[in-house]
Amino acid sequence: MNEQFVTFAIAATACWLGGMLLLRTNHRRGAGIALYVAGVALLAAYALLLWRGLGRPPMRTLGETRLLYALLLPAVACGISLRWRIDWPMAYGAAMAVVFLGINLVRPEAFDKTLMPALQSPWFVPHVVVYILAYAFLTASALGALRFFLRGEDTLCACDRAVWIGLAFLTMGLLFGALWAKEAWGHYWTWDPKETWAFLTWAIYLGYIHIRLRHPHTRRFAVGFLLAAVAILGTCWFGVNYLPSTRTSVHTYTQP
Amino acid sequence: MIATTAPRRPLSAVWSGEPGYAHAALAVSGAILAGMLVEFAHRGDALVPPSWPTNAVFLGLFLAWLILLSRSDGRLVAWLGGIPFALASMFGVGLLGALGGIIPQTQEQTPGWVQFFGLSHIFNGVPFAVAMLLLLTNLGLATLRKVRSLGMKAWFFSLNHIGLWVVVASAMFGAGDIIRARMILVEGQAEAMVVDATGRHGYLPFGLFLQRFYVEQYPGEGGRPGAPKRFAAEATVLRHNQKFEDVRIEVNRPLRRDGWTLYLTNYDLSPTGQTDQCLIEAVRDPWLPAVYTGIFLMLGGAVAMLFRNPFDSRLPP
Repeated sequence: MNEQFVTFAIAATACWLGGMLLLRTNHRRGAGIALYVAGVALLAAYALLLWRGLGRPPMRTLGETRLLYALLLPAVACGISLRWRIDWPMAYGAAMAVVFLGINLVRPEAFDKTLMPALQSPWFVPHVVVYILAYAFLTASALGALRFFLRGEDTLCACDRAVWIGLAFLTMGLLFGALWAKEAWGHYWTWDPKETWAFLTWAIYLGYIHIRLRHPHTRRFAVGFLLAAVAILGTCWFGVNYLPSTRTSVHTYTQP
Repeated sequence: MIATTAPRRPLSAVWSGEPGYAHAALAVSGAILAGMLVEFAHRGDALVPPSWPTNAVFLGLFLAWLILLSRSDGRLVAWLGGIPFALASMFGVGLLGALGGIIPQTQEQTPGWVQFFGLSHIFNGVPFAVAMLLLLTNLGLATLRKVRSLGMKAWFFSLNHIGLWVVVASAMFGAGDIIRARMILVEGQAEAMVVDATGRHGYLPFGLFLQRFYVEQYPGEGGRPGAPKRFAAEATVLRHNQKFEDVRIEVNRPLRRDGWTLYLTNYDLSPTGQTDQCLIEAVRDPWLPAVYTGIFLMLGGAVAMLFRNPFDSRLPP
């Protein structure tokens, strides 16, 4: 299964690289976007193969969520680029996806077919997919903030829109999680460390859109805020496993 | 350039006449500190969530107060229901939440002072309740004022904001009515008694007779059994003067009867592999319909968000 992953990862990376090069030439835009989308489709095909091979949705371990993210971020970036006619999200999205594929290459996981009873629920797939979609939009806004600092380009409009959509998905993910928790664990909210950090992530982006709607002119503050916010998102996604509070968590599925 | 009609309001204009961010920050941090002192005075054991009907009376009074307040056009009410206060109270809740997300929330191996200030039970402590109440005040006032001025045009705003208010208010005020108790079912025996975390006993309005409990495992390695794939309890519901009813309880498939929800939480993990008994958690939460109403309002609001992006109307750079 792992050799298959290497093949697909390299092929997808090549597609994204080729697509971006074609986009740069400016008169082959259509072909560039098509090649870029083909890269996404390749990874999607790999995810489906993995799903079949494992006999369960490949959304349980951190590595599997990284794969889903590497698939959804370029898709989201492509959507943003087409919708708002800007090219940089596609390049940044692909670069980020390659980093995440790279992490999975360096830290291959033993493919574990088990799925504990708590995860065997119709909520599992929508909850994770909506969450990773939210992460894709929200990290896209962080990449925009990074570009603001590095290039001095005014990316804030795109960031605001991405955060808005990301927050909508984040809200759905959070609420799906609550409805699922009621079915699986008996209560919709128990302030488990993962839940607490999910709440903090939600709250900080909620704060962001309120600040932006109220103070459209405080630009540097907003950009700094986005970078701080993505640190909290990262804590929720990865960092939680290293916090002292997590020794009591029921929510970490990463260690088999 | 950015096309916007919003007036220029720099974040830095703090103490200039109108109550704004600085006042909100002061009010929220003052209230949280006061909450911490109360918690400390009670040695970290200050908050006993009120139960029915006291909690309903409190909630009713709180709501009535908010409605009354929202009819005023005063500066103070505008500030209390405004964005600066919203951000300050969200920041307060967030800061306490971050503490609770870092410090282990358990009573074991926790130094005394951590417990006394309520830091080992942030989410059941006075400071957090105070911060949440401030947030609810702000959110309630903001929503009521918006609806008063815009009527049905505020539907989008209302879905999200009323939804969140209903979720937080009913979860907070209803916390005292939640019963979570456990019972052990043994194959071939009937049981109706449940015990909660403090050791108090009670009876379900029906009994459960465990017919069979079984565990399916994934294939293991070296003769040892693998991870559990599925566990299920086949039981019979016993009621006075009524027909027996055969049921099955599984993880993610709880049993709902008479206002109680029964969850299969665990089984006897003895090394001998004997699994003729299992642990059931019985939960009663009369406020759940209210919480769910809020959740579905918020879900509607989240879906609507996808189609109404206020940042979309601004021109690209």
